[in-house]
Amino acid sequence: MPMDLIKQVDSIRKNFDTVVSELSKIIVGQDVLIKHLFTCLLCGSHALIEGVPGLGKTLIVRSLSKILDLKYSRIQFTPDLMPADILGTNIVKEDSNGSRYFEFYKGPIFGQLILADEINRASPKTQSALLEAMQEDKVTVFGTQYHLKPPFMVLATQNPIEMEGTYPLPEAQLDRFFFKLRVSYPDHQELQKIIDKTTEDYQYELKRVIGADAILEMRSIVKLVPIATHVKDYAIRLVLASHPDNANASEQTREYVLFGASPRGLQSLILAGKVSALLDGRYNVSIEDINDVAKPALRHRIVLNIRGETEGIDMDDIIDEIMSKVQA
Amino acid sequence: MNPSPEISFSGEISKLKRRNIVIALCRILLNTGLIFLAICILIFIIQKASVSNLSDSVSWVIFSIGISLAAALLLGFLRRDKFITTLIDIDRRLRLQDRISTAYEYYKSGKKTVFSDLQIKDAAAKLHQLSTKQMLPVKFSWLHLLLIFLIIANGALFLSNYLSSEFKLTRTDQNKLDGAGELSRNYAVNRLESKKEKKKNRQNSYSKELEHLRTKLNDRSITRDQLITRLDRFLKDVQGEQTRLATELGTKLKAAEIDEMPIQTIPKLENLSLNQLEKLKRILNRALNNQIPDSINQNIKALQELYPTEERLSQMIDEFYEDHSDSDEVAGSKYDNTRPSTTTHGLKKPFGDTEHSKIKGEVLNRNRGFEGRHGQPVPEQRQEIDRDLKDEFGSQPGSSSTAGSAPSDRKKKAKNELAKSSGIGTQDKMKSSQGNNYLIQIRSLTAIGESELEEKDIIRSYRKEIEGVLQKEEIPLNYRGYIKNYFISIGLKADKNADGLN
Repeated sequence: MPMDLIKQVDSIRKNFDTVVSELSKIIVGQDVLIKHLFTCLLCGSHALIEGVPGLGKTLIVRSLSKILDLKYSRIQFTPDLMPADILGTNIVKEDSNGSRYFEFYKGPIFGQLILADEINRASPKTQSALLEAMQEDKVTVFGTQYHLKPPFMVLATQNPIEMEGTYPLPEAQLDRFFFKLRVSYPDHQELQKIIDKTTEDYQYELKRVIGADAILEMRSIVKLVPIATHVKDYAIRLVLASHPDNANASEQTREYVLFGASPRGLQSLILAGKVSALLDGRYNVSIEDINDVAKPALRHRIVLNIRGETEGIDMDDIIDEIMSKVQA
Repeated sequence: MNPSPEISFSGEISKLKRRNIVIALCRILLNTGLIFLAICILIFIIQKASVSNLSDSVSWVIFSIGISLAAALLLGFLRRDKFITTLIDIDRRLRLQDRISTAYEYYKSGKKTVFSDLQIKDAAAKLHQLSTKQMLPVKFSWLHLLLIFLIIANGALFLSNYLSSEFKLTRTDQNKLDGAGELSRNYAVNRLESKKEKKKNRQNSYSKELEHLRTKLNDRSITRDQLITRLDRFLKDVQGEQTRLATELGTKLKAAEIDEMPIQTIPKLENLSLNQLEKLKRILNRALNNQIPDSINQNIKALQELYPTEERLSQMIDEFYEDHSDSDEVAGSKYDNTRPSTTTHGLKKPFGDTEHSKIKGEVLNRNRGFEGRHGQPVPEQRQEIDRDLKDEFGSQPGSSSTAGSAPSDRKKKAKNELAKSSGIGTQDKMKSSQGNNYLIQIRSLTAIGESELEEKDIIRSYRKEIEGVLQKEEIPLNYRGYIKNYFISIGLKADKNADGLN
């Protein structure tokens, strides 16, 4: 068993390296974003990618879908998009005998890797259509439940909320995203490479390197990674410190935070920490792993109050303060 | 063959535990030292403040060490870390990313996961790469700095205390010395008072005896022989007392290693001029607070004129003695046995006195008895008068050599001087004791039968004045050294001879 386990752990790292190398063909930089996306994949959860238009959010997800041997669906969220457009609907069909019947027409949600592009452009009603699928890997249409094929993963992109024509995601919807990832603006060198790859005759071919089975196998290993009590305790204290009414809350938290992170945030911290440890070649979760995944796991789960919103408080600053205040 | 990961990990953990125990002991010792040094400084401050004198006690030092050790143990117990905390600290410090602590937790709790063995193996490998000193180094903390500071402070205090005790007195020592001085002063005062009391008692007894004798003298029923016998017995008593005093003085002088001392002599009255006699009168007036009895307040010149009369009386006494020499043969032989004790008291060579001088001595003794009856033989007052005389006429140090070893110059002055100074009888008696001679001066300030006042009034007045003078008396400067040495010598023997002295 240990030898097999070592091989499995090695395969995880190998797969990650492969994904990174494949994505690097088309994606410049964004290493942290790619790592976190891979983490979400291994944790069997979903990610919300936020960034201004033009930073390659959609490209990353589309490229990932090509690398992963998964059924890929893309949903372009628009204000007039309806839930049925996502989930699917029953349509009337007529057989050869002329009798009519309803047949469920599966929506794009019935894929394995779902790209919900510009998710905040749709109305909250439409956004909520993803709730059940993201939480329970199934959808219910006209009273009939349809299970989604694993591995199921939603990668949503959104523009910053303050931009026009956007609808903020409801908290319940946000909480179902494992990570909220931010696409950083490329630096000078990265921009140079982007120009080279996109404005010249750059030929690339993405290979499908990881199949669904491999992903599921990796997912089964992640949950077995040991984590020490003091590391769990640290993660708990981090989550608790994000609550403004907590004794260990930081000054900024008390001032700008309306609600703290939910237990799903803590789950995200631990699971993501385990993946982080495995990707680092270790068999245990460390404090550093927790800190690495704290921002993407918590930033969308902490809700700013009016003052925080109006003052434009960056959630990452609050999380940094929480991490600095909570003793490891 | 490589040991299993669990055994290897267990071995590494055991090393760490041993190292941890050593460090904990060092910390306890460090805390003990800190507390003990702090207590030492506290004791020093308390001692300097003279609140208590604790540092002299060895048991207190041991007690301090015990307290320090107990406090350090208690502190160590309260601040003890769990071993897992130590491992977490090692993980953080050596950036082991919680490998060791997680492995130890799973190893200790016996949780079995698919990753357990891998994790323990990984942790053991990391531990094997590191030495125990790397994992648990001895840190130089602020406590070590404080220890160094306290050691320096204690050293400085010890040195300052040592140096100050070498060259100057501490407050405690000063207090001790003051206490000792006070005790010795009290002891000396008590001794003086005791001596005075004894002397007063003795003088009272002599006064009573003299009074008794005076009554007997007035008693016509007793014979002359009986009278002389009684006088002689009394004289023997007095001279016995003189002998005792001389012996005591000789002992004290020997103890003080004084071989020679100046002897103040009284100037001869017959050689005094009128001016000097007037001065003498003024001195007497001053000594007696201008209350000289009429018997004394005569013209001193007139007193001088009495000299021939006294001479004549002396001759009469001689003749009288010669007339009765035969009939008093028995008494004379008895006298011969006793007289040497009153005059020479066993000296190889007495004064060379004749019987004439012996009889004269009796008369003088009578005068002395009368003097005692008037309450006059007060040595302190005499010293006062001596001082005045010395101031006025200059002292004539005698040539008395080492006590009792040579004849004094008594012969030169005793006979004539006493004879001429009627009323102010002065006699130097040479008293020998075991070869030691001392000069004892006994003088009288009054003359027999010349006073116009009642005798009782005179005695009362004299006593009152004398007591007043005694109260005011101060020890002469030139005797202070002897007195001090005397009391020091008494003090040294006080424990052994307390009963005997008292």
